[in-house]
This record gives sequence, C-alpha cells and structure tokens, in this order.
Amino acid sequence: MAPQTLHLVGQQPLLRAESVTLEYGSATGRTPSAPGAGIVRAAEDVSFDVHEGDRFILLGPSGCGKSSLLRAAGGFLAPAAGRMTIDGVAVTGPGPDRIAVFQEFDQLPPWKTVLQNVMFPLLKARRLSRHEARDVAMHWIARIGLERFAHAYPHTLSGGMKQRVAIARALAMRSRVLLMDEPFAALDALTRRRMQEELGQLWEEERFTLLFVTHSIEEALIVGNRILLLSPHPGRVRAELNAHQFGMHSAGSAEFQSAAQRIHELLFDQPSASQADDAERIAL
Amino acid sequence: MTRAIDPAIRPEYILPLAAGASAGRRLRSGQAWRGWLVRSSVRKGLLLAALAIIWELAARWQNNDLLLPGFLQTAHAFAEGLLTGELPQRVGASLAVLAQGYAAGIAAALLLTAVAVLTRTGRDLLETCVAMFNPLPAIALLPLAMLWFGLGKASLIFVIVHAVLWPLALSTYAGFSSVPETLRMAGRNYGLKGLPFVFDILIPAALPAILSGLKIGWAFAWRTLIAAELVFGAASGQGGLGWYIFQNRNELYTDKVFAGLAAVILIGLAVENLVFATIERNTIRRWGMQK
Repeated sequence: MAPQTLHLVGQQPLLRAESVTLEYGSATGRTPSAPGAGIVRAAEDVSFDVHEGDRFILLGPSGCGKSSLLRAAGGFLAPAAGRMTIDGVAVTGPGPDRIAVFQEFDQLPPWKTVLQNVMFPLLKARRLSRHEARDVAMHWIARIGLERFAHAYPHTLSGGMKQRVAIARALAMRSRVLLMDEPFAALDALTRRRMQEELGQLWEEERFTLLFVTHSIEEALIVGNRILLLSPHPGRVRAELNAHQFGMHSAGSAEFQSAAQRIHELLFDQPSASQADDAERIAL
Repeated sequence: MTRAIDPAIRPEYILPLAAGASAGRRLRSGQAWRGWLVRSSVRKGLLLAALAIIWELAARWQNNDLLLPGFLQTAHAFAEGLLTGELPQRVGASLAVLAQGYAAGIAAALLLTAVAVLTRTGRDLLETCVAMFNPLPAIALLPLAMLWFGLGKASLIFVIVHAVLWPLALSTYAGFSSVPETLRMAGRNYGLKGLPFVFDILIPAALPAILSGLKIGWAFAWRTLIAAELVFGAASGQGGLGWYIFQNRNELYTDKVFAGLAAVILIGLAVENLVFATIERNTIRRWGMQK
C-alpha cells in the first residue's frame, strides 16, 4: 500500500478544505430576535485534501461539524473563514459537479417515479436529451437492481430502496465528487450492512471519488480508505488515518478491532498524543 | 438457593425457502354486503334521501308553497328550468364569469408567492397584504368595485379575484415554507434557482397545500359571485344564477328560488367531488403525499 500513498502525494488534490471555519447563527438570519445568543461555531480551522478515487470519511460524534463540512463542500453553506476548492477553484455555491446523497428519505421528489427521479438531474443539469437520459437512468437503475421498480413512486419503496435510488441518481451524474451525508444512518442494521457492501462493489467498478460523513467507526473503516477524525464543540481535526486495508471481509478481524479501538480512544481522548503518532506511522 | 428456572433447550430447525407468495383471501358474500354499506358514498346517499323525505314531510305539514315548497315541487321546478334551458343558461353565465375571475386570482397568487419566496421584499409584501386583505370579505368591496368598474362583469371579476387571491397566496406560501430542506438542497444541487426552482421543486412539493388553497379559493369565489349577483345581475341582459334567485324571489316563485339554490349547491358539490377529487387522486394521493 505504501507505493500508492507515495504516488498520491505528488498529485493535485481534487477537493481541498483550507482552514475552513463554519458558523451558524444570526448572520444567516435564522435567529434574528436573539441578540448575543447568536453564533454557533460548527467547525474551526479544518483542513483536508481529498484525492481522485478517495473514499474520504469525515468521522466524529454529533456536534463535530462533519455534516456542516460536507454542506460547505457542496456549496450549501459558505465558510466564515477559509475556503473549499474543487480542482483548485473555490466553491461558491451548489453545483452538479458535487452531487449529494442525504440521510433523509425526502431527498427524492415524491411526485417522480424512480426512473423520473434518476432522469431529473440528467435533464436539468447534464442537459441530456430525454432519450439519452432515459437510457443512462435505466442503466443505473439496473446497476442497483431496481429495474422492476423503475415506474414505482418513492412512497411505495422501502428505506433501503429509496437510498439506492438516491445513490443511482448521484452516480448517473458522473460528478467530480460524491457527497454522502450519513446515507445509511436511517436504515436498519441488516440493510445498512448490505448497502455498505454494495457501495463498496460500485466503487470497485466505477472508482468514483467519495466524501462520506458518518458517526459509526465500523462504517468508517469499512467504507473509507482515509478517515478524518473530528472532535466536537467546535469541530476540530483530531487525526487523519488510513483505512484502505479494511473492507467488508475484514469486519471481524483482530486488526479491524484494534483500529476501531484506536479511533475510539482518539475520539474520547484516552491515550497521549505521542502514542497516536506512533500508531499513525505504523499504519502508514 | 437459586430459584431461577432455565428454559428448556429445544432443537433448532430450518425450513426450505417457500416459492411464490400466498394468495389473498376472497371476501365472503356476507362481507361483500357489509363492504357496500361501509362505502361512504352509499352512506351519504342514504343520509341525503332521509333529509329529502323530512323536507317533503315538513313542507306538506306547513302547507304553504310561498314560504316552503317541498322537495318534489323543487325538483319539478329544477327539471323545468333545465328543460326550458333557462337554468343552464344562467349557470353558464355565472360559471363563465367565475372562470375568468378564478384564473386571474390564481395567476396573481402564484406571481405574488413566487416573488415572496425569491425576495425578502416580496415576502414582506405578501405577509402584510394577506394580513390586511384576507379578513376583508370580498363582498364588502362590491360597492367600491361598482363605483370603479360600473355595473358589469369587471366588478364581478374584481371581487372574485379578491376572494381567491389572498387565501390561495396564504396557503401556497405556507406550502412553500414547509418544503423539506433536503429537497430544496437536492434541487439547488442540480443548479436550479429562480423560477425553474419554483416550478420544478417548490410547486409540486407544496401541491397538497396549494390544492387546499385552490379549494378554499373556489368556495370563496363561488359564494362571493352568487352574493354579488344578488345585488346586481342583469346589467348586460344576461344575469347569472344569483340574479335568477333574486328575480324569482321578487316574483314569488319560491320553488324556482329553491331550484336556483339547489343548482348552487350541486355545482359546488360537483366541483369538489369531481374536479378536485380527480386532481387529488391523480397527483398527491398517487404520490403518497396525502393519505
């Protein structure tokens, strides 16, 4: 694995967070009548690089600003300081080069069938013809195994199927980077397992670039190849670790358990920093 | 010492995978009859028949055609009105005016709410206007409308627009405000903004609220129109349904007054149960946005 890491060092990162600080509060007009109570700092001075083909995980407990960071990368939230860049260009607003998959099921317009849902951004953002969009959409619907439900409305699907449609819709866009905000958190444990596995398979075949937010250490290790650990209130970078050696198959192994244990300790502040540095060098 | 009882260890078993789903049960004949009674249309029909009988009995007991004609007499006057073509003509005149006012009101409401969701000034404007004008009965503007636009269609359309605009703008705006944040972000993610965002995301997502606003607006417009026609109707020699009622009352054809009122009710019911129910069934119910 070392040669690959060395190779990446010479490469220009695809998505870059440069000392990003994110704030919510009176500035956005959400709480205009609360003087002083105003501003909540969600993330402070966070930097990270996402390279092409990465499955980059933002991991941390609630309140660490991981979802806010993903929203900033998506252009839904403007940083109070620092900037996000994609291919060296600063992110100023949402765009179809960064398609997001959210946790909430209502990200699928209920008035569109599965097929129409997948076609929708292809028509609106990629400006394909109706015929082309239909072909592309059917291809991706088949890839996620929902051909039989192509003409079903979202409210007739299970939670896992809805998330699959959202993933197909995002993949069909062939965007520069996929943003996933705890996409499996609202699913039951069995379905979540399967979705993680399927996402891994899709990545093996497509090699897209993924920025993935989760609060589950296991999910981070299984899905990701690189993990940014964030500590809460406000969100600051705690560590950046490798996880490329783990996959679905290694979920029960001793190394996996010890990696999970190590992340747990880092997040909940048990061992000294030097120990963590040692561990980092060993992992590399 | 330990009184705890261990449950017995039982053998495990694994069943082979069953192929195909089991078929649903069929209703037995007794249940089918009960199912027929359970249907709300049947129950409501029986209720209406009972009310008609009570009305007829009350009219016969009262025995005064000028004050209270019976159900049969009203039905006769109604049928006669239909056959002579007078009633359909009056209904047509009313509906033509209503359609123009209703369409203008909808267009104005959509414009106002679109501006309100896109700009802050528009939002302030909408909130202020709705707060001021929504409680104002449309019919109260009729004297003023007559002063401005004269005794004619323009005055009627003015009060209908007023009746439709504010309730529809209010519920449309409420609908827009309650569109889930995730859905908004998904729309913006595809580069939608401005009017395309309103038409591709906000309007369909707010359709349940918009439809209920359209229903309220329709009811307000219909009752406002009939009331306005009672005040003046035959300006252009072609009065509407309200004028028909007023005229017949003056000539003491009370059965025709009742027939006119029945027409008002029937049209209201038809629009509610045919037009709006069909729209709802094909949109928000089909999409699972309303149960």
